[in-house]
Amino acid sequence: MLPRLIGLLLTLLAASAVVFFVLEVLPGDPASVMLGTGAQADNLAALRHQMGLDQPAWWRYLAWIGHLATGDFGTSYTYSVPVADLIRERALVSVPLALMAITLSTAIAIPVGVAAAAWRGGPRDLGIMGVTQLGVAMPNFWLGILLILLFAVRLAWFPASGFAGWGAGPLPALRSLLLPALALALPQAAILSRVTRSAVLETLDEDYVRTARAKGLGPAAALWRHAVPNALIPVVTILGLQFSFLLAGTVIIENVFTLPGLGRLMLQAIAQRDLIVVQDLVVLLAASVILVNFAVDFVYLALDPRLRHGGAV
Amino acid sequence: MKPSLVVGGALTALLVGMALLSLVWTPYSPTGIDILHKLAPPSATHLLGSDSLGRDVLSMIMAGARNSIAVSVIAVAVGAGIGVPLGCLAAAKGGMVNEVTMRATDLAFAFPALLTAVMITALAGPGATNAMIAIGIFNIPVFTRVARGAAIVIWQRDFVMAARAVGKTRWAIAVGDVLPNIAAVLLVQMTIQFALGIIADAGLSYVGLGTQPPQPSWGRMLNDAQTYIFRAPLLAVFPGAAITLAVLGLNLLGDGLRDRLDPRLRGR
Repeated sequence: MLPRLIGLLLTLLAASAVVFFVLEVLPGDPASVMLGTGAQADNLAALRHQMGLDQPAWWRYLAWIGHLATGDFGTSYTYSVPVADLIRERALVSVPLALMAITLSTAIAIPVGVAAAAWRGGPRDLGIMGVTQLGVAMPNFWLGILLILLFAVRLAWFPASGFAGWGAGPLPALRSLLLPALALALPQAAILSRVTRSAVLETLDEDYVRTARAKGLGPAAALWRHAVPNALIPVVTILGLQFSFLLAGTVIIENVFTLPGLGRLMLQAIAQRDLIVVQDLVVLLAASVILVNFAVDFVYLALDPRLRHGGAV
Repeated sequence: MKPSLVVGGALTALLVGMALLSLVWTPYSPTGIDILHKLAPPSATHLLGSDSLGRDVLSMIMAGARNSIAVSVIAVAVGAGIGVPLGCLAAAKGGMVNEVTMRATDLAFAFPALLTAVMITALAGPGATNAMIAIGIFNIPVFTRVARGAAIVIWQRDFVMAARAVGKTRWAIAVGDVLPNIAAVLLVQMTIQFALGIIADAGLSYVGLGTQPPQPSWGRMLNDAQTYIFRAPLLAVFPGAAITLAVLGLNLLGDGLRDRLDPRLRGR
């Protein structure tokens, strides 16, 4: 347990160093962007000093990490407000969006994948496989545009873009997140249902499923009580990996639906070279990916008691 | 032959053919503005209609294929060019080299790829070249993992043991025996990364960070189309369909190749 935690901390530290280093190497001096092209050299130097940019990179890295460790995310150059406040406000859009998407995707993918496995080789299996193959190929932002076309332009059931805010209660807010969540969820569900199908196909061939059938269990009971629970490990693995895709996907999807989320905050911060915001955001996202993968390992333990005693799958 | 191989091969051939054809011929100039005939619906003169500046959509899709392929093929080359040697090295050396390489790929996978590509292109400057690099960087750990995983299996095989027994050097075995035996796996991975590259490139150019105008790109076309979604909804359909068919073709081709190369996976 302890070595795992130390490994986790080291990975987080390495991730933060990578982010800092990449931003250091890439062009774009925040002070010159703030002052514009006609800036005087002495003004620029004064601002760079005020922002601490004249200090060596390793010192700025340590200062940033030190502050992060105490929960201080720093102050945005452009908005002059604490980065933590900016992120908290935007996370109220992105986090529910991501959660809705992953819930929808799982709720669609598992029944579809299990059904396809149960109908192995039949016309319904082929149909599901064809649709999911198409779903995998669709970029989520195009799906988003198609959903706007159908539900906002043609049917006018949903707004074409924008976020209602949480002020008017949860329903209007969830309504404006439903189409973007679907756009994110469907391509993921396509991948996940394919994974579910092949995992269930594998367990259906196992001896214990044959034994269950031999002792008189019906096909449905054998499927749901024996084949599906044993097929969940690869499904959870992919679900954990998809979390990272989902986070990245929000950047583009938030643009499609003009949602004021973390992705748009990042694009704005990059455009204004508000590097502290970019740094904090990327590290936060990398940290959440690392933590989710860490959590996935615990889900394995819950799913497979053999792993709790150091056995192999 | 499996249907996926046939359909995938045909779609991929269509994509590449369209891109090659656009080098010598398109119905109209893909950058030719004709403001009098803007937002025209599909017709005999403009098969897929015209956009908000009167440019021919079919010509733009053809030229867009070329740009999209260029970005993703070079991104695959960057990823495989660096990732495969790294993976082979990790497999051949084992020990610390292997450990360090694997931890480095773990670290790379902690960064959501598309999001980081957005950050890199936005800071380094929007454009096709930086898009190739940004997408290519995230292909590196993928090829490292795949090459290492496949190579380790080959290193255990009897013919490699035999080659070592007769005194062939590790280097000669890696290049002469291991690499040819993992080439098939790498080829399959290349088609998959090619497909992912097309989606990533479209996403980057949708937010204005990929191929720059006046060069047409599928992502940028979708962004423009969204502005006119009430007046000309079809403009938002064609470029997306082009992306989906291209990715579908490559994915099917990859599946078909995998089935052919690894009979154990058939029917999965």
